[in-house]
Amino acid sequence: MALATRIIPVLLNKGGSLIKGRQFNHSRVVGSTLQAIRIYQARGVDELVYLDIDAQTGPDFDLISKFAAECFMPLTVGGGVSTLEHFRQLLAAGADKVAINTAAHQNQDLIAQAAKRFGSQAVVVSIDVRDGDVVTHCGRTPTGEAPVGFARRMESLGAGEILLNAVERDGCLGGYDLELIAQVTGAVNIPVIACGGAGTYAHLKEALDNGAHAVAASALWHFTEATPKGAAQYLALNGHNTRLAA
Amino acid sequence: MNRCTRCIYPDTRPDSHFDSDGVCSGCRSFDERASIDWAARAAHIEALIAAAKKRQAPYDVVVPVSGGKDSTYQVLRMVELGAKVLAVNGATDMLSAIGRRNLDNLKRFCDVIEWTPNIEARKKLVRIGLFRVGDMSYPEHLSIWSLPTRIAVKFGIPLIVWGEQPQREYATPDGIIPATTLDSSWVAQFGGLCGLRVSDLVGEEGLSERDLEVFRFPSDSELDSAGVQGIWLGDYELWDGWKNGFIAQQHGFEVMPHPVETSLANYENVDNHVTIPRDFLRYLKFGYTRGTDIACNHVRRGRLTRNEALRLEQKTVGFPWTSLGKPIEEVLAYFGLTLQQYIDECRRWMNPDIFSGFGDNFHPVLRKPNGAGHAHHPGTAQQGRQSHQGTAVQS
Repeated sequence: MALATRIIPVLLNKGGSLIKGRQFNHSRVVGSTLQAIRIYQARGVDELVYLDIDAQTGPDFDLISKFAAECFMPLTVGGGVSTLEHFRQLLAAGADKVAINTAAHQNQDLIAQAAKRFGSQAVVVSIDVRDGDVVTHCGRTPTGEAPVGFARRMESLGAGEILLNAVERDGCLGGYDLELIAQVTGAVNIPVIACGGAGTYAHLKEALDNGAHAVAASALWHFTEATPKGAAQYLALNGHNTRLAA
Repeated sequence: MNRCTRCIYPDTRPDSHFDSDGVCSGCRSFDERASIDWAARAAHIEALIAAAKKRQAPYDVVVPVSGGKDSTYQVLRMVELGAKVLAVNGATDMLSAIGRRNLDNLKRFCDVIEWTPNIEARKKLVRIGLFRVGDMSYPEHLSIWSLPTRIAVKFGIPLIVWGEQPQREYATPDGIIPATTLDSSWVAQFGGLCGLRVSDLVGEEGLSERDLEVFRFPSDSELDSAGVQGIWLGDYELWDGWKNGFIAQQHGFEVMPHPVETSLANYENVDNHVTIPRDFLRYLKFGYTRGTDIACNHVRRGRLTRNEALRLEQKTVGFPWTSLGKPIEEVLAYFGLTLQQYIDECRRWMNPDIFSGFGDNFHPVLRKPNGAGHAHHPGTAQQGRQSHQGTAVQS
């Protein structure tokens, strides 16, 4: 049986609060992060991505270990990661994978070193794309680099997975950037998680049909009646192997 | 935690938005009231009632009621406007004696349906709510929306008149215009359900899909085919909860002899012993109490100064040893919970960014003093907003 398609909620944390915005802006507090973690734990989701968007001085290891202790599903943690020591401490705090974004541009040795020390499976490169450009610093700083070339380079350095987010689609519930997904998944051999724009179960299917290996969403779960289980059932009915549908 | 420069809302309150002057969306909504043509709004709701009457359903209007000051006012106002009213009460989990009397008082003005979902199922939902999302009022947050709407659909009653529009009265996110009709997508987003859906609960503590059916909000197609529309009375007149309480009291509504614990009012939240321990958990998560809401409402209407509000808020932030006068242990025991379980959950739900821990008598200690005496610099909110733009991983 083929590996099940993963459906991955994304949690954005600021302080202890769960937040969500649109197009990396207009953020609003939607609840407490612990609420969301307990809900997804009970829902038995495939995996969880936790990004701290207010971690300028590095990850908050105490908070992350508190959250990690509440969830038993695979957990990817990102936000403020810039050193090998951050990787080590996050994995020790209970993360299964570590996501890096800005640091992937600033210090490419970090990816190779982290992959060598902790294994590629623990290294997720988060790629934010705006107007065809890879952007860093929460979407504010353009790099002038195209996503396909950047993704290939990250793969060759040892990244194990790509979290591909379309900034303009973020939080808008209007569907993923399918062209971007097709381009990047066509260019690399590592799994690509599609992110940014999911507003219906059909959007999840579109991303998978365009090559995504897994689908991530947050506004979909925060602001509509959709649930990961409902998504799994929909996808299973539409030709994708999902675990929660069983 | 930064506070609005006009009222005292913290920016940690869900769905609140602070503009570049550091003013919260609740205050900005209040400003907008000055430019609304209220005479036209009054004509509009009269037209809606006239259209409802033409449908010749058994009732023209459903008013969802708790028996509180707002619902009493809504009933009185709808009757005054000539509507045949059916009040629908989704039973509270632990009704107080005064709440019972206030609910019965409504029966002098209109027909009332009290719909009580199975008490044992609700107790389970209270426990799930506490442990899963830190919200002991979870079953009520489902049933206050679902039950009146289900009754309207069942009887084909065209109009449901809700009370205050919370997006206007308290907080609405940046760039989102407050809704004018209450439908399933509004409930999913703004209904206070903490991201937990009814469909998540099937199989929990032995609850079946049929046990939970009454808690499910009707779909948009069910509302459409029954021709049912939900509106907020607060969109059609200058809403003022304090005034509603005053009017309600002239019509038999009873208030408490003292302000309700965790609040500053003796004229609301008087009906349910669960509300107080629930509100304290919310304070631990988000740094504001029902007292904060009440104080801000008074500040906006010129009845309190900002400094008075900050000082009064401090009276509402202590551990809730009693709830409407009943010892908290009694309230918890009713739901099969112990004080120790509740305190353990309080520790877990406390937001570490807002609080440093508990002091004496489980009094939560703020990391930053509450700022009584000075407003924060207007630039702060803007800087705060810039620092949390978006989903990207920062380095």
